[in-house]
Amino acid sequence: MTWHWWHVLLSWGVVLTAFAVLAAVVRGRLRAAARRLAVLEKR
Amino acid sequence: MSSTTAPRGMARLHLLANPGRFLRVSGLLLPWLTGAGLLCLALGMVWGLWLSPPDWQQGETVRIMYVHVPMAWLAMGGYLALVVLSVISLVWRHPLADVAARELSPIGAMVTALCLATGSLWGRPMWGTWWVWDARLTSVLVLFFLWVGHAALTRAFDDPDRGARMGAILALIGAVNLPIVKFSVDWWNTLHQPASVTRLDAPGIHVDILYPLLVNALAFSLCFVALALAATRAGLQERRLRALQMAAARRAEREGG
Repeated sequence: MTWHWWHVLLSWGVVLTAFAVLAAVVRGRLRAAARRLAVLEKR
Repeated sequence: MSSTTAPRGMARLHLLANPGRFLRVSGLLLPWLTGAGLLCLALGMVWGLWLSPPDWQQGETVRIMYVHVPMAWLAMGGYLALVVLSVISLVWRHPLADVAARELSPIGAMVTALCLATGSLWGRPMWGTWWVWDARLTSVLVLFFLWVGHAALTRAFDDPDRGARMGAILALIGAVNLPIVKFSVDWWNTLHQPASVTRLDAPGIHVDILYPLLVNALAFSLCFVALALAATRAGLQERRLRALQMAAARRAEREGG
């Protein structure tokens, strides 16, 4: 594998990882907000 | 436009921008958007990394373009959406536009940073350098700072409405950078090549490269919209949570005093 290929894989890897991490963060926020809302509304 | 259509149109806009309705509609849309985005992404990955041929000049590094170009388009298209949201926020003072703009800026900053990073990874083998201070690269760096500035400014105030107003003003001032990014390659002599897809005549690249590029652009656009919608939903729920907590605190204070 040439070093050009490493640049290709690094580019794709960085982009896909960034999207996956942001998606996980947003999902976590949604779940936490829903859980806390349910607790507050029950009171 | 007749005198009755304008208020009716405004009423429709307000109806669509109702937070409760937004939560319902976005809840229905999100699984479809995410599914379609992931499907297109899988197709785009296989096509871009495996099936498409190497470029006669760039060789294998052309495969970086399948992520770099969509990130560049999303950085600019996303900023245009931020400008529209800022106008709505300043003119109609709509809280949904405030929340959407606030949630859009970290995602916009991320895609702009990814555009710069992947461009740098392409530039090293093709230009022999990671970075040059030419007009296109520098104006995209300014765009990144605008995104980060907006994200920081909207979160810098205790009063979220004030933060939203300041962020909207910054976004509108920063809009002047959009035509500079787009036309920098025509106005100045840059190392970055001029537009090859979004031209008035036919695209300047072969279909073997154009089609996977368009599939990947669609895939990342769907994922971007899905992320922005999900983040706006989270922002709205957190806002509602804060309002409920404040109401509970006021009630406790009244009962205690």
